[in-house]
Amino acid sequence: MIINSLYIEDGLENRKFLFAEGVNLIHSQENSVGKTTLMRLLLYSLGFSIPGTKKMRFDKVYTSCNLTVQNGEIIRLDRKCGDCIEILQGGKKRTYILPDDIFKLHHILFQTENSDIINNILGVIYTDQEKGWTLLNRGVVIGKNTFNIESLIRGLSDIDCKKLLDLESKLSRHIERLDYMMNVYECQQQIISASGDMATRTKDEEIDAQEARLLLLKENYVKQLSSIDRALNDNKLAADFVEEMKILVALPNGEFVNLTKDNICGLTEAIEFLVAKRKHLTINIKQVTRELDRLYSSKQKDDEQMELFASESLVDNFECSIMRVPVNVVAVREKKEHLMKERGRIRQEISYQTRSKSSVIFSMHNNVIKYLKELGITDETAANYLFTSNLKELSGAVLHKTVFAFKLAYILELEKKLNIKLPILLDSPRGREVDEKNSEIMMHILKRDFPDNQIIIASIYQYDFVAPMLIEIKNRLMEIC
Amino acid sequence: MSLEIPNRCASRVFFGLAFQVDAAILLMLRHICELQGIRLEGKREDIELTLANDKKIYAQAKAVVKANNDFRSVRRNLCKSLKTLAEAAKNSTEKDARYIYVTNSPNPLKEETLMRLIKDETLLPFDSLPAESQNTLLQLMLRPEYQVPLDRFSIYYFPYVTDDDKEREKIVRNEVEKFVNKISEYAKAGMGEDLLKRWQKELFDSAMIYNKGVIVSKKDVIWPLIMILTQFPDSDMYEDIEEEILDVIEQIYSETLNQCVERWEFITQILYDYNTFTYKGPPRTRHIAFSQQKWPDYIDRFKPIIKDNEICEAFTKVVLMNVLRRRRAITSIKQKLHI
Repeated sequence: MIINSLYIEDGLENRKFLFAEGVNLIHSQENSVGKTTLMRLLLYSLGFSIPGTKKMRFDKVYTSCNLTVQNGEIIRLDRKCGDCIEILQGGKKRTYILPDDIFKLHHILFQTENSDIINNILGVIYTDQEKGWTLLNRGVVIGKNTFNIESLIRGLSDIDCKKLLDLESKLSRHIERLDYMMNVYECQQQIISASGDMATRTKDEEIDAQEARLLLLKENYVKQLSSIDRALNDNKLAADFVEEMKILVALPNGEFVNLTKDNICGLTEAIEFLVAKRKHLTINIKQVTRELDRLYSSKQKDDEQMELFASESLVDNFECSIMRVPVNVVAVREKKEHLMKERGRIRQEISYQTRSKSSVIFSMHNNVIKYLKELGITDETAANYLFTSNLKELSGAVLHKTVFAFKLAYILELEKKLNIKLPILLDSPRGREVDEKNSEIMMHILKRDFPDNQIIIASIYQYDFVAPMLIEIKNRLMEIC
Repeated sequence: MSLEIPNRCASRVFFGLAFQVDAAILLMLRHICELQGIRLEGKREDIELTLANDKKIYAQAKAVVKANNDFRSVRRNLCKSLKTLAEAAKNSTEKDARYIYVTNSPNPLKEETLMRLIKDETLLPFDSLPAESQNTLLQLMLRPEYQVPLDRFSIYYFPYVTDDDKEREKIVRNEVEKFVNKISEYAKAGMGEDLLKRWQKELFDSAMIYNKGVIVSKKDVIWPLIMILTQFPDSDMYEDIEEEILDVIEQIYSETLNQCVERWEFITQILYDYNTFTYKGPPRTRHIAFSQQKWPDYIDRFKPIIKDNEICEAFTKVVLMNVLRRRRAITSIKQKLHI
């Protein structure tokens, strides 16, 4: 993919930036003139969800990006607002709603439907000035866009862990809810410790606790009833299906008998059992409802008496409501522990499956080692940081160079898989810690191993490239030089 | 009765109704094999049982609050009951119908001889009554409005006193417990109590229905028993599964368990495989052996839900055992109770 040009319109101002197929340098003498803004607008114009900068709100800006995709076709992307983008391709115009249709759009740009790859492409091709040079294998790329090495490897290796990921997600949501319950409990404890007089609330608390218990019980019964109804329906459908097939069964004595609902083993009992269980639950629900009605009428009488007194404040009402919520903190902790263990196991399984296809990992690892050596990092353990979560061991220039090596390795694998050339966008590659010598090595690697990739660098420094396209920004982005 | 009766049993009406319900249960247990249905507050009587071949038992139940020492109303109660039973006998087309007077008074005829004969739970046909009591009844039945076929008449007594539910229902609770223990190998302590409560609710609710044609069928009586016998199995059933793992299954996967064992599509697969399962041990352990040997054939369907291998294996075994146990319980109960 080659970005040919980017047109930006912000209010009454507009500017068009042309890009070359090879190396492009977005340059300024000073800091904070708009280089990063331009880089981010480029990505924004491609449909990514990119936050604006201090001086420019992207959702108010109109962008039009002209690019060439792998098959040589030229397409144009027009983005007038944050939540939609128009693509002009082959003379036809199509509108995509963002972020819902992002996959469809990026399928056209990056020639893949693999969601794991699409979700991680930004993290591969773009290195942000702020977070990019510390993003090794997992983390935020920019805004809400994240990068995850395992997800990328799954995409590159065509490993499908959707069920496990869905389960992990479900468990995470449950755990989150349990955390909310713990928060409620802590709030209750605070209210209790702040409250001077517990005695006057005792009767109310009892009634409220009873009400909460009955409501929970009723909810549980109703849920069970719903499950039974589904099972009954399924069983009845299965029975109808079998009967409609009109099957004849040959008996050992030579006779034939029609297969019906009545002579299918276990069917009648399964249905009768559920009917009996349903009846029992219905009785339980009625009983609980009666108890609740009694409770409510008792409460109503108490409330009518209490009307003589001053009404409670909003905060008091809230505290009362919170205190009514029954939280069995021991059960919540145990449940959370169990769910976390369960989630841990699932994550291990996901990780195991991800790492099971070793060819991609092996190739990535070899490239990382190669680049690290060139960059002067001879410590072999650094190459093992492919899946690490421990970044504290790396810092400063070592981290910066390691990130660079990893990024290049990701790009190579991605290009192998997609069979396309990807643009490489680097914002401030020298960073704060990288000296000139290391910077030269980094550029040398780019020139040598990525000669056919479009490279876009934003920097206050000049780099030794042959005839790079120089995009100069003087005082502000929209000021035409 | 330990149901949610709005008022305390000091209320005579509810005391009487509670007694009626427990009396019905006791009579039902006595005839459980031939029972087809039972009704409280029926068309004719307080309790109506329908047995095989449409034979009937009509019963009148009269309770005295302080039965052990208040005998003032016993004769009046007897007469009221005889009147209703006689009415039923007169209008009934069933030639073999039986008529029972149920009471909690140990002195139902206000006669010492009979009082000495009555202990705990006692059913006395007319022929078994002392001569004095027989004469009393014969004298009463000289009046046409009290005429009940004496060869088919019985007095049934069981103690039912005090405000304490547990003490008052001792007899009926024991009988239900005995029944449960006798009917199934899966009976455990406490199941009788659970079953009693369900039967009481069932009969009490049916008594409230205005349509006198609605009866509690034998299936309505037996299925609660099967439900109780096959509820989540306790640790004794699974010698090779740790209790902690059973706890995890009960607390976290009980809904999944129910969903599996309630679906016929899955049940039939297990039953089919069980039917073809070769086992040389004693028949009563065949289902245990099946779950212990055949669980690998079913575990894959649970792996997406339960990641832990140990829990998944245990869960699979529990599912198999549950399905087979239910099947065994149903088959056994149906055979014993002629369903």
